[in-house]
Amino acid sequence: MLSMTAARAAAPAQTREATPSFDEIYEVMFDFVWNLLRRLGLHDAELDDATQDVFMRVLKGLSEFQGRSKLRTWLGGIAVHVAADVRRNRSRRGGDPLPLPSGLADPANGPLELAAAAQALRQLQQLLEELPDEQREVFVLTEMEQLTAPEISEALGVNLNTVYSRLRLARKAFAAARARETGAGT
Amino acid sequence: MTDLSPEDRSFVELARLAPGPTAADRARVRRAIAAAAPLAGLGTLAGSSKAAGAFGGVVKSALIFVTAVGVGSGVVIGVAELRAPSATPPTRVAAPQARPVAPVVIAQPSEPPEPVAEPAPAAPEPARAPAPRPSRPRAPVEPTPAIAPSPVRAAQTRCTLENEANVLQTAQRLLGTSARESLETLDALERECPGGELIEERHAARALALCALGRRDEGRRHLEWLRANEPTSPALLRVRRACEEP
Repeated sequence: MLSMTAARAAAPAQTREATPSFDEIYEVMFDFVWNLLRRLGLHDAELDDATQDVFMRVLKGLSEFQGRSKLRTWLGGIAVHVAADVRRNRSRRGGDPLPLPSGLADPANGPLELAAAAQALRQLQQLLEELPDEQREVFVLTEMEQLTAPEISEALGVNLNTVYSRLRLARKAFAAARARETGAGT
Repeated sequence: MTDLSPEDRSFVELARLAPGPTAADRARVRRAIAAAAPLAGLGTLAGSSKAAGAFGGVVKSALIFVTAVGVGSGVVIGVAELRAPSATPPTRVAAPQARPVAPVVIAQPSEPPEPVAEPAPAAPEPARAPAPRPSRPRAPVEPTPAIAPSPVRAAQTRCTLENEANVLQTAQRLLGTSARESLETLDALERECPGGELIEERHAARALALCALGRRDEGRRHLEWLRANEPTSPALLRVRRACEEP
């Protein structure tokens, strides 16, 4: 059985016999999945169910997970698909206004740094709303989750060049949105 | 390739530091998965390791618990397990009574519980009333009612699993600095929310606090309760070390 440290490292050299248990994956990857779903634009009220969906799919696919990919790549791919499903269902319902991230709305919630980070995340989410989903996914996986382009290519099941192309477009759109927001570059 | 400007990168980096999920979030979702897995034909989480063949085991009844006691210096809270009962369930022994103390204010956890405008529905006990999607949507914030809530309603609001877990986590943290304050926090929790769902964790935390204060006889009574009722508790080793080793 993998130790937490080993599972956290999620080394590419994981082998079939080293496949971590569900409990280990949940312990190590919960924060990653939750944060990723939020960064992909899910609302507070959607996070519980979406996170549950991701781990249910993990549970379902665990026996076939052979450690050929990193845990972050595997779960990242699942989370992106789940988030896309949630957003699709939301827009079918006519869409909802973007609520504030949980516990982040009130700057009095914590130290100044946390309040600033919370505010930045809120602004970032609003900016990312302007990006097409496929660009947003690549942007978040690259800039926030810090996956490499080959990992993203594997997670999303798209060509490596497609990843680079989407990332380039996403960065450009993000920079433009930021410049407009901050008044820079005008 | 076009990269982000230093300013934009700093902005993204700052956003990455925003607080993540709480222990209560982790525990809540874990409970939902434990409840949903059998219904989805995925067996119970107790058998969810790589030995997928273990999924087929029939669980006649199950016990959900949330581990709230730290291992070593770290606080591990919110790892719930669905456990099949042993063939010969341990005999329950009477819980030692908490020593009554003067009222104290429950210390606020560093990650305060989410504000709840109305009593959140209790998380379904999966073994009793499983639902296909038992994850609890967060209660939307409602306008403050014109009349004060009844004491029962107020207690229901306070005594959610999230709040209980957060207070226990606070008590656990306080152990490192002040066992007395940790014990006072536990006393306040017992007074405000007697019983609760995290019984095992309450006993473990109380034993640790009492033994740290040198009240080993009292602490050992809680240790005995754990031994009798939760013999596989991950907290047992730590409590034994605190209460039995010189």
